[in-house]
Amino acid sequence: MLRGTMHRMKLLLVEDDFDLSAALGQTLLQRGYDVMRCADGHEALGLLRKRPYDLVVLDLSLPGLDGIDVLQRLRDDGNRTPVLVLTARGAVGERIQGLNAGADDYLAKPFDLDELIARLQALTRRLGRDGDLRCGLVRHEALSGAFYVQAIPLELSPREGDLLKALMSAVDRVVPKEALTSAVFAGGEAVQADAIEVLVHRLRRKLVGTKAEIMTLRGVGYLLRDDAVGPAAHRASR
Amino acid sequence: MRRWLDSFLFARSLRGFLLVWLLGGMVVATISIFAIEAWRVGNQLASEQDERLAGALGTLVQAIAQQGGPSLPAPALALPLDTGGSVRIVFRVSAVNGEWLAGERGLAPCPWVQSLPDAGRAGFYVGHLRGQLMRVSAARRHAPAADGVSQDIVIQAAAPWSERIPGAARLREGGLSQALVLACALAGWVSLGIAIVLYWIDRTRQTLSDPMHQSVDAAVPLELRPVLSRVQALLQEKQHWVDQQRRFLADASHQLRTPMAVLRTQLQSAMAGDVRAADVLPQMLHTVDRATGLANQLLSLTKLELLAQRSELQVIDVRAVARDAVLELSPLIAAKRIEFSLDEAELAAPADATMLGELVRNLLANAIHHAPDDGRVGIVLRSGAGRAELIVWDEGPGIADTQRPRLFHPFAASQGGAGLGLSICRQIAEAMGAQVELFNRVDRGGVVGVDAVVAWGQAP
Repeated sequence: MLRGTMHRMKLLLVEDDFDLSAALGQTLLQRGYDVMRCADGHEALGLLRKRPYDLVVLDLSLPGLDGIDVLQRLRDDGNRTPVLVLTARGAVGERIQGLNAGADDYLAKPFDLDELIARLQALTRRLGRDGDLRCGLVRHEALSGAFYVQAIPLELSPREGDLLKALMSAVDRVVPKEALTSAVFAGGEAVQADAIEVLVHRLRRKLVGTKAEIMTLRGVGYLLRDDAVGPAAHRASR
Repeated sequence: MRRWLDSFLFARSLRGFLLVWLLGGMVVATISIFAIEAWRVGNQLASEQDERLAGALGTLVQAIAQQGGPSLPAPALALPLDTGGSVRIVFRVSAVNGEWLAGERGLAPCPWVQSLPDAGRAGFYVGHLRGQLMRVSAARRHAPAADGVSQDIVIQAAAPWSERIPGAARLREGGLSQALVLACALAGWVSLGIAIVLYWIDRTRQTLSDPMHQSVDAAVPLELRPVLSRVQALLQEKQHWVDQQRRFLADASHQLRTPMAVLRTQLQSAMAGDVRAADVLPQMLHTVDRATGLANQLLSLTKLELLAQRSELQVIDVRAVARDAVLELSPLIAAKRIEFSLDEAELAAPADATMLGELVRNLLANAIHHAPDDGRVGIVLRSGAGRAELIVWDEGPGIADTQRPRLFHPFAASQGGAGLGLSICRQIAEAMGAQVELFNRVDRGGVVGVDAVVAWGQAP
C-alpha cells in the first residue's frame, strides 16, 4: 500500500519474542516499511535517541527496560514519534497504563496483521512527523492551529476548534462530555447544560462530507469516527 | 496473665507439661509430708533421749549418795543403767576443776561447769566421745567424800547424738509407708489419665488424616470438636476447589484439543493437495482465532477466580464502572457505528470494581457483537423496591429456546463465541451476590432484542 510513495516509513519494532519479531518484521518489510528490529528496552531507547523514526511498535513486556519505561523516557525527552503498543491480551491495566504513558494506540496480542497495518497507517496519517492531527479528510495543523479539509481551510469558531481538536486527539475513542466541557470552556465560565450539545450539533454539520463523523454515546460522551480507514482497523479488537 | 503464661508456662509438649505439673506437685507434697513427719519424730526422739539422760543422771546421783563418795568402784559406774534395752549411756564423774574421778575417761569434762543450773538440775550440751557426737547431760552436786570432807563434783551422762535422728523403721511406724504407697498409686493414676487424654488427642488427629471421615465424630472430645470441624471444613473446601479445577481443566483441554484437530486436518488436506492452499488458509486462520479466543477466556476465568477468592465486596458506584466499560469498548461501538446510550440513575451496589468491570465489559461486548451494524445498544441503570438492576440491551436476533438451557454453561458456544463469556458473567455475578439473566425483548409478537439483566436484591 505504501510501496511507491515518496519515502519508505522508518519503523522501529521492539519485540523480544524472536519468532514474532521475525515474522512481523518480514511482513512489515513487504508492506513497504523500513524496519529496524530490536529486542531490548535500553537498546530501543538508544536507537530512538540516535535517529528519528516515523513509527514505533513497542511490546510492553521487555527484558532490561520495561516498555512503559521506554515510552515514559521517550516522552520525557520530548520525542513525539507515534507509538503503537502491543499488550498481553486482557491486561486492561497494562493498556490504560500504556495510554497514560503516552502511547498513541494499542493492540492486544495475538492480533490480526491487517488490523496492525491499518492502525499503523491510521497513526501515520493522524500523527505525521509534523505533529499534525488527522481524521478522515480533516487535518489540524499543529503550527498554525488551523483546520483544513484536504487543502481547503475549515472555518470554525474558536470553541468549535477546541472541541474538534479534543476529539481528534482521540480518534475512535469516546471522549467523556465532562472532558470536552473542560477542554472547550475555560474554568470559571458559567456553562449551560446543553452548551456542548449545541456546539457538537454545529460542528457535526460542518464536518459533513469530510469522512470524519461525530458519534453520540448518549449519557457518556462523543466520539470522532474516522470513516476513511479500511474495515480492518475497525475490526473488533476484542 | 496471658503473656506470663506464654513466656513462663509455655507447654511445648502437653504430655511433658502435664507430667511435670501433676507429678511434680505430688512429689513436692509427699516430700513435705515426709519432712514434717521426720521433724516431729525427731523432736519426740530428742525429748525422749533427754528424759532418759536426766533419769540416768538422777539414778547415778542417788547411787553416789548411797555409796558415800565419788570414788565408786568402777563396776557400779560401768553398769549400764536399765533405761530401755539397747540404749548405751556412758558416765563420767569429775571434780569441779575437771579432774577425773570415776567413769568413762574418754568423755571430755564439762566445759560449762560455772553455767550449770543450781540445785543439781541437769544441763544439756553437745559433746563428743572418741569422735562420736554425743548428747551430754551434766549436773553439779555436792557429794560427801569418803574421808568425810564433802566436795563438789560434776556428773555427766552421755548418749550418741545419732539416736535423736529418726530412722526409717521409726518413720514407718508413723504411717509414712502408707502415704508413700498412696503417692505412688496416685502417680500411676495421673500418668494413666494423661495417657488417656493424649490418646484422645491422637484419635482426633487420626480422624483428620482419614479422608473418608467427613463428619465430626461423636467419639471426639467436646473441646476438640471445634478444631476438628474447622479443619474438616477447610479440607472439604480444598477438595471441592481441587475437584472444580480438575473438572475445568479437563473441559478446557478437551475444548482446546478440538481446534488443534481441525487445524491438523486442514493442514494435512492442504499438504496432500486435496484442497487449494488459498482456500484452506483462511479457514486455518479462523481456527487459530477460535483457539486463541478460547485460551483467552480460560485465562480471564482463572484470573477471575483468583479475584473472587480475595476480593471483599464494598458498596460502589455502578455508574462509574459502567462508564469505564463504555470508554474502553468505544472503538467497537465506533467500528459498528452503533447508536449507544447510557441511561443512568444513581446506583450503588455491593461489588468489586474490577470484577464488575469485567462483567459489564463481557455483557457489552456480547451486545455489540450481536447487534447489527448501525443498530442500537445501551445500558440502563435503575433501582427501586430493594432491587438494583444493570441492564445491557441490544437489538440482536435474540436467544433461541434451544440455546437457553445451556446459555450459562462453560463452553456452551453460541454464534461463534467460545462460550465462556456468559459463564464468566454468571460466576462474577454470584460472587457479588447478584444474578444475571438474559431475556428476549418481545414487541408485537416478534423478538426485537436481548436484555442482559444484572440484579442485586429480591426478584420483583
